[in-house]
Amino acid sequence: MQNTLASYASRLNERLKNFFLTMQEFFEFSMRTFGALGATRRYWKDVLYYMYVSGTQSLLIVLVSAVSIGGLLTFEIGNILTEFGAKGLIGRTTAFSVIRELGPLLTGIMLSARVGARNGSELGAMKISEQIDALRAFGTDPIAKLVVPRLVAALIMFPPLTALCDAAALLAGAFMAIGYHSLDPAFYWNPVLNYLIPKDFYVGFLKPPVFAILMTLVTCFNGFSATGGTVGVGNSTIKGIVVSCGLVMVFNFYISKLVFELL
Amino acid sequence: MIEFRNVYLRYGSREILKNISLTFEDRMIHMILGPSGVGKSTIIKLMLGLIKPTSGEIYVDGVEISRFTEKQLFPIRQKMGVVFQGNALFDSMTVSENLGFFLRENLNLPEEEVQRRIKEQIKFAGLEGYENALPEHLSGGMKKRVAIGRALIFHPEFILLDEPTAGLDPISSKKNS
Repeated sequence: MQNTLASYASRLNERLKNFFLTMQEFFEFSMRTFGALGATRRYWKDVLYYMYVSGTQSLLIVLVSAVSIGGLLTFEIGNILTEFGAKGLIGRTTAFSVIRELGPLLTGIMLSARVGARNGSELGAMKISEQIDALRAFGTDPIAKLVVPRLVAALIMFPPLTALCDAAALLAGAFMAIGYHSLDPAFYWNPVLNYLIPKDFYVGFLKPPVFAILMTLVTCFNGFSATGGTVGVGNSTIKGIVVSCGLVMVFNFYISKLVFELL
Repeated sequence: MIEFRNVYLRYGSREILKNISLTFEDRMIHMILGPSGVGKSTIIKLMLGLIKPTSGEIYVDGVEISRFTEKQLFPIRQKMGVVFQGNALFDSMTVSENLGFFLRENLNLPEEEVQRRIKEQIKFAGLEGYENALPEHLSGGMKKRVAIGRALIFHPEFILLDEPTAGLDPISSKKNS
């Protein structure tokens, strides 16, 4: 009994130690990335490439998700509001949900999956094939060359993608409200355009840069930490995506709460 | 000159290197022989500062580097051309881009000079016609020759070769030598 307890305590101790060590390494990795931001000018061609990868190439998946969620949201909300004779609130409800929460959240999750998977697997493969060591050996800072351009590209592309996601979701909502719930277009668009206040946009557009930083740092850190061959690359990629998606959801909640309490 | 003084390296309870003291003189060829897993590649990584020793000192041209930060190590590493055991060619870059990587990154050379040196290395390595090929389209011997060319192209003070003929057939091995 005593032995079992001792072994359990030792395992717990080991796990806690590993957790804090990883946190320390992640903090150091993040600080080095922010410290290397000056390399953006040197690697501007890489920034353009990653803007294409994380922005243009992600557009379709973001729009498809936005249309599905926007349409579904209006469909479900419309059914409930119609029961209470409050069909006129469909536009307002959809607009608040999309601009404040769903647009940024959906974009953050989609990009964490798509761009995050790419970051994790590319960097993980580079790590296990010693390409990152080769960069260091040839006097190049791998963080400046590989992480900074990805971070800057994500910071530039996430806000416009979120705006497009919002627009697509609102349009899909409009089609659903007008086509399925037989709502007059003016009753849908008037609340959308007139009831939104700056605070809604602050919440909605404060999130994309935060998500860009979280997604890039977490997935790149996991790629840099990959060990143990192809299985290791797979594991580090999965870990990066899961942690990044989880953090996007948690931060989505806290940013909303913080902005509404402070402003 | 590169010098190791009483270098120890441990990973957890595993002892990789135990009290190693070595001196690599300038303008000399040194070879480390031993069975796999005894730490030959590790010694090269220690020279480059890619890993830090648990204890002991490593001097490169009289400068103690074992406690240097990444930033402090960059000028030291720029003196060394290295060929990794698995080549470590940048797989998203062509042969020419791999060869010219160091020159474009670290030396402020005019593009004509970069191109001239790349052509010279391509000819030297017998890789004419493969300038725009990606590493995945090259044979093992060709990859190794690109890796060697990449290490030699900037005329480094030290050339570190980690098993430069490993895994090659006798003909490719002779060509590389």
